Amino acid sequence: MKHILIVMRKELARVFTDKKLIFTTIILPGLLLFVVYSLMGSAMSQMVEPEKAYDIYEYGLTSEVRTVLVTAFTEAEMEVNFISVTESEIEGIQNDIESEDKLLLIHMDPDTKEIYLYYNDGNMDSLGIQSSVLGILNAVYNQTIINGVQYKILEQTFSKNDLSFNLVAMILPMLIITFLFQGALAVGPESIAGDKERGTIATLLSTPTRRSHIALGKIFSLSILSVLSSISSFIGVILSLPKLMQSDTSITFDFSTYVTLFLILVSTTLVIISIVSVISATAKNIKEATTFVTPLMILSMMIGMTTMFSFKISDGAWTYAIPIYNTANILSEAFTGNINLVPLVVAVVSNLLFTVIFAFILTKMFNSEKMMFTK
Amino acid sequence: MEKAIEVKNVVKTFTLSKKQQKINQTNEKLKVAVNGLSFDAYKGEIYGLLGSNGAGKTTTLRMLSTLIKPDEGTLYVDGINVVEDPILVRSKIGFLTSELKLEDFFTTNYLYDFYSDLHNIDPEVREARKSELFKRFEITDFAEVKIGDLSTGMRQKASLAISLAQDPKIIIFDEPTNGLDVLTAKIVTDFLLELKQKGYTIILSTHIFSLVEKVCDRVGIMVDGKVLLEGTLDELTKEKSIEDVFFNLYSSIYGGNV
Repeated sequence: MKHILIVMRKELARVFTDKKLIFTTIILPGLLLFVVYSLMGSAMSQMVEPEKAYDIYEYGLTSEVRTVLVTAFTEAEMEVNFISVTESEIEGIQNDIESEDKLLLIHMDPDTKEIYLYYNDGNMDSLGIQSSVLGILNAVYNQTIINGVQYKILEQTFSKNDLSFNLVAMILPMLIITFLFQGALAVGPESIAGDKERGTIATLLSTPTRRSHIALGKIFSLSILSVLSSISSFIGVILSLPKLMQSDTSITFDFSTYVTLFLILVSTTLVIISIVSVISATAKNIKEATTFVTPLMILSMMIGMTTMFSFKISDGAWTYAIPIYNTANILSEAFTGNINLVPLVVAVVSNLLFTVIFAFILTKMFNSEKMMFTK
Repeated sequence: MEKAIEVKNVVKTFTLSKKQQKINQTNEKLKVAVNGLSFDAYKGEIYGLLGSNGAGKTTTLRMLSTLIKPDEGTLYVDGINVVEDPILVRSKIGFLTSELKLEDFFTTNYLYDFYSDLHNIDPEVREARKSELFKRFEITDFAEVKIGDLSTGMRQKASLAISLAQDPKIIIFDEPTNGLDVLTAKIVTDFLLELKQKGYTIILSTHIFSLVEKVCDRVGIMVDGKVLLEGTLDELTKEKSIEDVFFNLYSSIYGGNV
């Protein structure tokens, strides 16, 4: 235990005695999130302009769903015209959407209650109005709208903020996951692959210290640094929310949302840093470690993007045991105010369990001469 | 004489990566780095492992310092099996290479304390020893300068002091003067002789004949992973210089193609 603390102290001293590293590792992630999200808020306000009139074509929409949409847009002070079309006109409307002459078609199957949104993601107006409709439907109906055969209606009022906020809820998970990975990338490869690259690992391993203690000292210190980085990201997100929502008033989350965000960010950070540490231990140098981690980061970003398309593997709670995927969904749910305790607990416990497993793998790797000394 | 180091029939094989196969211009996937190596080093002597690059010297010293394990055979340091109790072995040895292996972003003072702590040295003992070593190697003036900002000579002095922090009675030194300027090389050589006078055991690897002639009591000439010729320096250099002995041995194995 004493040696674990000694190694931890040195790894932390590496960062905390260097002003540049303190800035890039701890302050910059939060600052970047604040700047990027604030800019996004401005961009999104141009994406869905309340003053502009939008035509939405619909077929088979029940009066109940139409009322929900009309109410939401009215409360958001957006001028939206719903134009009913016949079945024979659908194909023509779809062609017009493709050629960017029309923006959106909502097609609801009266039997299955499946709702299809036809839009053009190459057209900002089309994408924007589609995102707004999707956001409203997602917020109102608890289940996914594509397969939501049975859905229940929640009592919820709509405002301009809610519309923007649903857009945010879709984009934020991907961005937050990206920043968490970047925080881990800033410290993980340098500490582990860097020691191999410089040859300092041999000096360290020639001391009368258990290799598992060296590995644990490193992963604990990296976890502390990454958690600080994620707290910085958390503060950045919270401070940028008013701007993201294009509102001058500050957002009021309830306490449970803050706790949820904190728990999922910290547990995700731990699982990410443990994965990055294991990958770094397989690499010969920092560059190789970064190269190895990058595909994983891209994959994680793609998983983060699934919330943008309302994609879900399954509605079962077990899906929250999948690291990163659980982060994306918990974050999305937290931002739309749909926090449930069971998925959160499953996600946090799973993340911590995966962290322990990866930490164990890392200690085994430190005992492998092939891993530590292969050039 | 009491043995400080005992190496018996040691074999170590490495799997070559594609890149290494290309560099070594071979299709063989395995490289036998050490092949049936046996030798002993006695307490209070400087034992030199002399050999060309790739002879297996560094691999041998890495096995003695427990960084890597042998595939076959046994190695004992101060009577302790390096595979069975590597932590105890590491507490008894100082391991140093001429390749600088200290983190650039820390000061000598910080790293000295860090490695002393890993060696479980009491803070009072640590400070007294640090003061002695820093004075001996004239480190005090640059003790608070980051390693990355030091000259090669200063770094080697820092490495020496740090590797000797726990005052090990057995020192394993891989290529001690390789790549050093003449002044720093002299400091290292003088220090080796000083340690020998104090009764420390030193095992070093080198391909520098002058270093062997100056400091070693006994020499083992390594070729292709085993010691082919061994003896005291006086025995080996009775009729020829150590350089001639070495090249004659090589010629006897590889013909004229040395």
